[in-house]
Amino acid sequence: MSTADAETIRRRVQTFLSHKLAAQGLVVPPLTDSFAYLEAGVLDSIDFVNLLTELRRDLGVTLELEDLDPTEYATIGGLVACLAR
Amino acid sequence: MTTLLEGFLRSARRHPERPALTLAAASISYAELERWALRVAGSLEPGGSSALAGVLGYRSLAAYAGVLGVLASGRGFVPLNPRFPARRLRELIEAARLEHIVVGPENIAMLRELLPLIERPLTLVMVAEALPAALEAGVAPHRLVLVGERTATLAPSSELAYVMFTSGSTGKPKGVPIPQANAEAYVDHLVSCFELTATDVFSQTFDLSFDLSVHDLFVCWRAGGRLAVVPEASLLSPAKWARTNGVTVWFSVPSMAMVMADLGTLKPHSLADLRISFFCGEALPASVVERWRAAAPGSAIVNLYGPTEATIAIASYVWDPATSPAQCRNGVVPLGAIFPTQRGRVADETGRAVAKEHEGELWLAGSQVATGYLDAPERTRERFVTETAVALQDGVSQWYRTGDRVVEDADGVLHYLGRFDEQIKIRGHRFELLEIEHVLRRAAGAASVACVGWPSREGHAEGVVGFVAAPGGDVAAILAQCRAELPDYAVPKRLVFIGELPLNANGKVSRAELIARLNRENGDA
Repeated sequence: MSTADAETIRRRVQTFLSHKLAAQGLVVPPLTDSFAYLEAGVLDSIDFVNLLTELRRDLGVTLELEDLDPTEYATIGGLVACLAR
Repeated sequence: MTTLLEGFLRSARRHPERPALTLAAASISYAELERWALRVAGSLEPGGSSALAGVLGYRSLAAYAGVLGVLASGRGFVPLNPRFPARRLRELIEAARLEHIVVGPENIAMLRELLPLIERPLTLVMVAEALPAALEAGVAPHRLVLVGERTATLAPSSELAYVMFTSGSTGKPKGVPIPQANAEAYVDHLVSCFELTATDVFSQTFDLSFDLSVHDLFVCWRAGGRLAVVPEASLLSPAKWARTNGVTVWFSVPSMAMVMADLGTLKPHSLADLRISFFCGEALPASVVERWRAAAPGSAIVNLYGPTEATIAIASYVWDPATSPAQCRNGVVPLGAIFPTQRGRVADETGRAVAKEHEGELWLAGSQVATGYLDAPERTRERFVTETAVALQDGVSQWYRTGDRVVEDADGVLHYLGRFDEQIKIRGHRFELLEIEHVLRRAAGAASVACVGWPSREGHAEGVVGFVAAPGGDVAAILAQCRAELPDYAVPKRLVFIGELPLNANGKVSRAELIARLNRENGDA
């Protein structure tokens, strides 16, 4: 059960991604809901773990990966929707 | 002995209708895959001066039919990872002097970037139903052909099975040519030792450019089983995928199991169909084994160890819940024993065997060990020792020095302690820090740079941090150049500009001090 609203989660995900992109010296693209962050190679598996750990720790939201198809959380919008459920 | 290809063909004769491969949701039978492979071989003209051909494919029909087709054409294969930067691929193509490359339609974007970098004309065989319009014009001086309908008659097998490239400390990747006989020795041992059968479903997690993928493909096909390819999207969460696909034999780097545990997908009994789980490529923490056992209670757990130069793996350790926890050192599962068909020795600097419980370098010999690096006699002499009188005393003509620091315990079990050089493992990928530094030095235009694997967890480097001795610089430009030359896992995740690099007592850059500094910043001091 989530304890944060979608907008709060979205902002946290966007912040995490933009920090990641900036540290890698990449131009930050518009981080809209349709941005496919996994396909874009912004996060590797360990970064993904770190993102989910941060969201669980700070916002109390978890991603039940076992119940989901990878396509469901491949974009920012999809990830936020899964987390806010 | 059976060559890699013969192992596949024998299974194809035995049960042509059974599935050899599951790609996405589609199954491809042994007969169909054989036909694709022979069509690829038929399209690779005989002749040319190269005994090798490249395969540029990623988890696609082109990748698997390509590997088999190259072998059927009487050549050894050179896997080209389309996820590597084009400039790195060009280096590999030139180093292996490739003239033919089998390609898949999934790599058109990469080809458009790669082909203009290569002046020497290549023949590209596209494994597809039709040539993609996007490439039909503008590949000159190269030649792009669609895989033909004609199937080849089998050519006599080449001496080499494949060439794998690993990171090199001089800034250039090292090619490791593996003869057919070496690969045969490995597959023979695995299939007979672990009783793998045609009813098994084998996971395929490794990229083809990682030599552990040779185990995935050819141990499976030799046993006559089905190779289930993990789709890229499922690599983050492969437990569900393994269940859905009825996987019975698992093989991955320990990092993948650690990520699964961290993401909460390694639930008790979630991998109940597994009967054997192999891990290789980096240190296997005992804590990961415990989590895995709870998820896969019916599975034996085997820790494999071996450098690319010794063909996939050359030592194994089977986890025993009763005795293994006490045998682990520093929370890490032992490397176990060298395969009975191969030789190993814990040696001092002169090559003399050290006593049990004394640390030394692991030296390897036997039918799985390569004879040297591709076109690199100096590097070969450094690592492949043929002239040491001590080593020659026991009838072994050549030893390979792994650079791995190990100890053999009183029970004859080998334990990994670390490296003698600056090589690290990043999520199982072996990489030389010196190669990353070489690229970073050029990219930053600074003489003094250093790289460390950081953060580290249970002996695993999660990524690379680069230090540049300069007041500042254009991070975006520097890292863009690193990305253009290095595989993604070796590109620094962060750059730190520093007044000067700390030195140790020997006047060398102190990586330990740099790591301590990062730990302090992170509050882990």
